[in-house]
Amino acid sequence: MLIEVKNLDVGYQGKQVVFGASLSVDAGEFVALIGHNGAGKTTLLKTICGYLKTAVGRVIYRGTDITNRSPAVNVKNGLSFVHQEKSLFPSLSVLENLQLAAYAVGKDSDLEKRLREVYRLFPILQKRRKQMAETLSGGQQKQLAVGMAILVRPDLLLLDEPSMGLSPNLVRDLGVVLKEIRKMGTAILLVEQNVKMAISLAQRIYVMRTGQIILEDTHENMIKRESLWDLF
Amino acid sequence: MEYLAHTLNLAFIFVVLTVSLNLILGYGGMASMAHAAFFCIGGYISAIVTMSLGCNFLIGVVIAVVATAALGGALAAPFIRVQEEYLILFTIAFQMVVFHLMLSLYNITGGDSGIFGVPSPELFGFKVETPVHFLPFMAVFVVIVYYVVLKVTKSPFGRVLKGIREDERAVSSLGKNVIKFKVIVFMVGTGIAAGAGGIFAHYTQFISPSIGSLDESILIIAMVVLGGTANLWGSAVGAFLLIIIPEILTFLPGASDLIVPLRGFIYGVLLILFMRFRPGGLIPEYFHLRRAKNTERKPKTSSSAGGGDSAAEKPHREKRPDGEGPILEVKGLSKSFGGLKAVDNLFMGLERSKITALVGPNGCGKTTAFNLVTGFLKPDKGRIRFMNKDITNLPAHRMPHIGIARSWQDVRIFQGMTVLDNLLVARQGQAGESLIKLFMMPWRVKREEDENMKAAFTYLEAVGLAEKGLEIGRNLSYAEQKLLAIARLLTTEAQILLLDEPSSGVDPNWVEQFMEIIRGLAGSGKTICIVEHNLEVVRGISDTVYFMAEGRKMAQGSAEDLMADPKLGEIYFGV
Amino acid sequence: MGLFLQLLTRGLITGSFYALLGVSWGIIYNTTRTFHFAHGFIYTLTAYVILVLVGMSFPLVPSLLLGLLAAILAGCGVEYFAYLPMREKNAAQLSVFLTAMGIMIAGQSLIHLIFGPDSKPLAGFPENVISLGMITFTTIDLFTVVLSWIVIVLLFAFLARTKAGMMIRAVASNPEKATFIGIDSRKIFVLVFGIGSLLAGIAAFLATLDKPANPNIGLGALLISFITVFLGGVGSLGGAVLGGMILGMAESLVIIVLPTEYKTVVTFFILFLVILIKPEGLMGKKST
Repeated sequence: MLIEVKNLDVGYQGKQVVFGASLSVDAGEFVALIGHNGAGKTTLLKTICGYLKTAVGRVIYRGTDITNRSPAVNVKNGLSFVHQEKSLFPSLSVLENLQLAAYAVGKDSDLEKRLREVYRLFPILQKRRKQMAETLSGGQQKQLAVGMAILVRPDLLLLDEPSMGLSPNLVRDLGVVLKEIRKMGTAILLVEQNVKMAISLAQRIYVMRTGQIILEDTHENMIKRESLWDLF
Repeated sequence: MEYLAHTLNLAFIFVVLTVSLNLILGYGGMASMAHAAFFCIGGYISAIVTMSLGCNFLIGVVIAVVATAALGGALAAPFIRVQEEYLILFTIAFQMVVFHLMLSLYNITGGDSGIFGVPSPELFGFKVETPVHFLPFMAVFVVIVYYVVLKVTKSPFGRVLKGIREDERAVSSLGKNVIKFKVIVFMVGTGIAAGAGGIFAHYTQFISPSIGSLDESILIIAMVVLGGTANLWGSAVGAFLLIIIPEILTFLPGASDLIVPLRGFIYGVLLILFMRFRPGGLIPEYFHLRRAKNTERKPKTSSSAGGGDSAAEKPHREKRPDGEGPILEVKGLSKSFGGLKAVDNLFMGLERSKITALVGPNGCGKTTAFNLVTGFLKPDKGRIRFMNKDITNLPAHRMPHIGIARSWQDVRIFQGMTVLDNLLVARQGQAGESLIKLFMMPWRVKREEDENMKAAFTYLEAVGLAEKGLEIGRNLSYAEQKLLAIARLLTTEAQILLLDEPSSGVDPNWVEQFMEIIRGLAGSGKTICIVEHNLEVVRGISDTVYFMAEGRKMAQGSAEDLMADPKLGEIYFGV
Repeated sequence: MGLFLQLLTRGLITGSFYALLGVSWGIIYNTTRTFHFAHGFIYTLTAYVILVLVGMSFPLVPSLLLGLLAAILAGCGVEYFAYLPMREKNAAQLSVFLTAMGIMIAGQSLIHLIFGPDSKPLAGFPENVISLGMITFTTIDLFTVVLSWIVIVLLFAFLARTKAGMMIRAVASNPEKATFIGIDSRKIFVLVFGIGSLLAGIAAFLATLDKPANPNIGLGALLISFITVFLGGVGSLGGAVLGGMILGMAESLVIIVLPTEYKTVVTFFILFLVILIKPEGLMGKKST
């Protein structure tokens, strides 16, 4: 297993939000985490990447216990996190945003090559590379955020509801890109509100409700499911 | 002897200044860097009035108090509208404007040199000329100020202040006009400072802008911090220490001409040390909170064990028969932010004694709709009617008065208050929340307190927290805090309860219990509306479900019906 | 007419100096959102270090460099030992502000205790008067304007063209995201305090060439610093420069209308109005 989460409890501001969550993602695997709003999915993701702290449970990445390790350190070890909102530097240009992703982890020796890879997946970013990030449309900003994350060629990409605010067409395009990213060797843990999208893309799906993981199933079984309502 | 008396008088003046600033800062939550400016203004007004009218100093002082309080009120109104992060800067700016204005208006204020010959205090023909003679005056003044401030802070008014200090929106949602409270507190605080200024001017027979500088304001803040914010006795300690210690140090050889920088150095170091290591002040906070716990009156209630459900079923809350029509109606409600239509021509109704749920995918507008109905947002278009009265533009703090109350997704109980106090803030129309009535009709205030205590206790029992009445809010578990929030809603005695994601953050084991409680509330006649993401809860307790998407009502019906609709499934789960 | 041009020139000179002060505090505030009240102490400290060294017959340039070094160390020290621990403990904004104020007051008082309240002039710089038609100014004035603008331009170039500069801008733009991509915010904060303090030190040097120093100069410089930042726009260094120029001009030209005593009143009244009407400043953006 590339990453294993074991019995994680997470709380903040006096309340517990995640109760004993366990999951795993293998190298190169595409795993989705779905559930109703407020179920604790984002909290779980933020704890895995180290942004939120936990006192109970473990996160094991490539055999090492990385529980409570700072996200800045995790990024350098190949664990990238793309936040749902505010996931870029609005007052900097698109190019600068991408450059920063590389500078921050010291992986800028072959910057031109990496930029080309990102531009291949997101051609619009090349076109608008001199523009300030905040002038991009919502969908383009999402592309930039994902572009920044894959520029550093992570082993595991944590995505928090990337389809939020995107039109159905853009959601489809995003799905195509995510599949490409997986082909390049990056494992993906996708948290999504758009359940259909998540189920169609992922090989395995976890379902979360009121802070607990209530179900784990394969892509094939989820597709065949009668009703999704009782999972929420 | 005179020197000692003078030092004591000085200390007393600063005790009054510290206490009055503590009222504004510690109780009102307003960081005012301009307190010395008001002190100085008060001194000038009293001096000028007595010198031009030739009247008794007391009249000058009273006029100073009233005029400065009015000025404080005038400043407080824009002040309150300024964002939190800029508040400190704003008061610094005000302080500097006043200070430099006083320096510049040479003809009125005497500029840098000030005004000499301010008449010394005279009472019944007895002129007070020496520091020793002044001491009893000072002491009486301090006692009066303490009496007033203690009465204010330990009253229902003070209780609301404590709530405001912690969470203004929560206080608003319980029916209190936060702005009014803050303005009044500011006026009282600045008025007292002005009174001190007047007395000081007559005592020293001199007034100049130097006592109204930024340095002096900072000094007073240091005293508040040292003694502990919201700790009125601590303020006396803080003031005394910061006056006496530098005075003592000036007895060191060669130090007397260095008193100004010496004081500065001590204040600075003390500020650093206290903020770093003991931000709560000299006397630890729990000490005076613990004392409060012991002196808290036990509620005189006749109810005993097993009073559970009966308490929630108040006699005048009869269950009306069905088919009466919705008691809360939303018609064509619209609200946009920038170019985005968050709520678009929404139609909705809440049936009496029924539980209505509002669901929909992220961004569907249910939270906006919730805030519109509860008065925290103003609609662009549309009407809201409650029992045939139009309440469309009613502000949030008026809602509980007419019978509509809301809970918060993040609970928002008052962590620093006891459980009972949390509930007491929710009682409507308390005489003790008006300062005038507090001082003029103490018997009525006491009577209402007792009645409110009884009511609060019954609601505590209804949610099963009866033994936790004197517990401090932050010591409760999260689930207990959620129960407290429900009890607090009940205490408003509102008819319509709007619950914002009541199951969020709840331990899965508690969800069933919470659903029971909410069902019970509807059973006893309350009309309930919940915004929920957890569909298990929605399925379990709702009578009607409104499915929203893109700001509009997409469907309305029972949970089973809606979840059988494939179109809604597409909207909710994506394509 | 002559008077107007003279006042205009004065305004430009003062404005340039204020712009320098503004960016010195602005870069710290924009990046860390800390209300660095102790900035004034750094200013005073630098002035006195230079004065003491020159007074001991050190040559001017090494004294200046040592003074600037002191500024950088003091500024970084304040961040690392005072603000950082409080920030990690989620201290209230008022608490941080009071700590900063405590450092400011204690520091200035200490300087007063050691050196006394008397003003000390800085000797050793050529002071000649230059006349251009109807306007006159001194070589110090010219030096002030030139050095201020060189420093400001260098700062902008540093931020725009270097990796470190980009990272500083990133942290200012979105501190949370900066952490997510691997930037060590703590190091950036200390760096920014160092840069801001260096700039304040340069400003202090320029000021003491012109006027004698005393323990209270820091407070005045501090107040000017943040008035320019809030006037010109929080989050925008260009705004701080603009704010500085506007403030300098306003202070100078207001003499035409009001007697000189009202200069400070006007300055603070401008701040008062700005916070009331548009707290994010002329070029700033509303924080969501």
